[in-house]
Amino acid sequence: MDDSIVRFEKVCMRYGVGPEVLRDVTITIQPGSFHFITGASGAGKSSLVRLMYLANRPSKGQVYLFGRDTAFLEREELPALRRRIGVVFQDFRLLGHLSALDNVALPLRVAGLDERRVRDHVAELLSWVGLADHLHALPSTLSGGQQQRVAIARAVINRPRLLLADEPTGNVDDNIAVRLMYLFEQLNKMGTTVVIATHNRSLISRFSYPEIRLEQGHKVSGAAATVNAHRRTAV
Amino acid sequence: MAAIREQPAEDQQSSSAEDVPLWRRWLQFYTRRSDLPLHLDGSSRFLPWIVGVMVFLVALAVAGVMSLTDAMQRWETGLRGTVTVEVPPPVNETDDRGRDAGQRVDEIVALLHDTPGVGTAEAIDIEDTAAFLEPWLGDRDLIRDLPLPRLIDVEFETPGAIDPGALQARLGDLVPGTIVNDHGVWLDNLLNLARWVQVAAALVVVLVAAASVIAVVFATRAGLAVHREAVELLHMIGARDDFIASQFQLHALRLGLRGGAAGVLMACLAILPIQFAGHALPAFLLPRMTLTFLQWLGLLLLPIIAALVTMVTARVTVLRVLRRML
Repeated sequence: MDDSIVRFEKVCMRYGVGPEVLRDVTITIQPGSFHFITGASGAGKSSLVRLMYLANRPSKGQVYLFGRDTAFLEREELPALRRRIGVVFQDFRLLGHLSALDNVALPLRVAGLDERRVRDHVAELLSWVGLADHLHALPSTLSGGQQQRVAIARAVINRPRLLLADEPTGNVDDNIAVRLMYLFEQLNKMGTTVVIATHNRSLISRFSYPEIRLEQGHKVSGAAATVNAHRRTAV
Repeated sequence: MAAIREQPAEDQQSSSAEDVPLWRRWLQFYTRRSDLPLHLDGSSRFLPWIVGVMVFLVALAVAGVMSLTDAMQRWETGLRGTVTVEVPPPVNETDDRGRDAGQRVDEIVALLHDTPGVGTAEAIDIEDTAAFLEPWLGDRDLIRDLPLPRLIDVEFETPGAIDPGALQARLGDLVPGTIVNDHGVWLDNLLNLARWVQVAAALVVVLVAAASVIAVVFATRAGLAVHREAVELLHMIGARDDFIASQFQLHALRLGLRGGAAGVLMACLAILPIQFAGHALPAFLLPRMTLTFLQWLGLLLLPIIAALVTMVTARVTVLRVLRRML
């Protein structure tokens, strides 16, 4: 039985008629694990993450999420699947006209949660990420690091089983980057599988989690079914 | 970290939704906050104007049809089953049987009263005839001197009870040259014309509605293109198409109501002067644009209908476009 969270089988991907950005990538990510996706700029990290949160389809190969072959998913099944995935986008993707509170509340509102419970949950989480004084601030009035934390809060508010973060520390200084990593670690300890795409070598060496290393669209190491795939204790 | 929910939220629409009255659910829907910045969207700013103009045109067409329909009913009930009998005056003071104009008319009226199927037969006073012709022929004294035929207004007990041709033959035996004018033929032609006017008005309504729908489709598509990234984001965090469509349809409903209300207000301001001006004309010339309370109420429903059409069009458009997205 396939109990993996993410499984790629010889996955290739291209955007439109462009060249392949991923070639024959095979990886398996087990529940509760913590992985880095690493590689130089343009290696295909973001594309790999986009496939994991179903923003794109592979041009070849199979992508399995939570044991389901995504090629056979009905459109109506996608929302429920996506709610089990939290995504921290590289460019945050906060909605500029909404306050920090409303941005973080989005995943709960799309699920139709009662509004009073939404506000309680969100206010508490924003306090936890150090933004208690910025609940009603618009993203444009927040610093890069604060926006990053709002984006992370939005990704985790619904307790995803899989957390994907694309360069989550790319816009913050080292101190905040480390704090964010501790936050991800805590989530991981609570059972969330975490996958972080980054090229920040100092962060990777400081938190020695298994790496899925990409070079020009090829996976060159990591996250095979039997290699480096299982959860390791944080260093 | 208690703030993070214990379980991912699946669709948790309020289980007590069915207990909430419909009006309250509509109010909640109408006042719902939007997660997409549609109110900042320039592409939909012209939508209230379009809906307003369309509602204005439809309101005028509908009001016209209502008035025409009323007039048709009046014509139908007033003229169906009636004839006008024309009794020619004698060439001299009296005819060959020694009857003057008045006696000829009296005999015809008497015969009509004895005819089975005739309800009423009433000679029109020569003064009334002269008054009727005065606007065209001038001085009433001169008209009185003219050899005008005398008119008798006849109403049958039931429409079609008597053959006008046979009646004319019978009356002609009594007073040669007597003519029975059957209003049925003229009425049929008039009603036929009025029905074609109604068809033309219905066509105007259909075309205006189609143009409105097309405008809403384009505005909605433009809105989707402008907010594509935000829509993608909502998808990525698990929003169903229905959730996204509801944001667009609510926006469209508000714009449609606003435009529709302005359009119907302008239409009312246009209809009222026509109504007052129509009262100054003789009733027989034109169908008067006089609307009843229920008809006014019907006109006031137009903005709501227009807003609902706008809302449904926006919803269908969004769902169709989203279906093509991943």
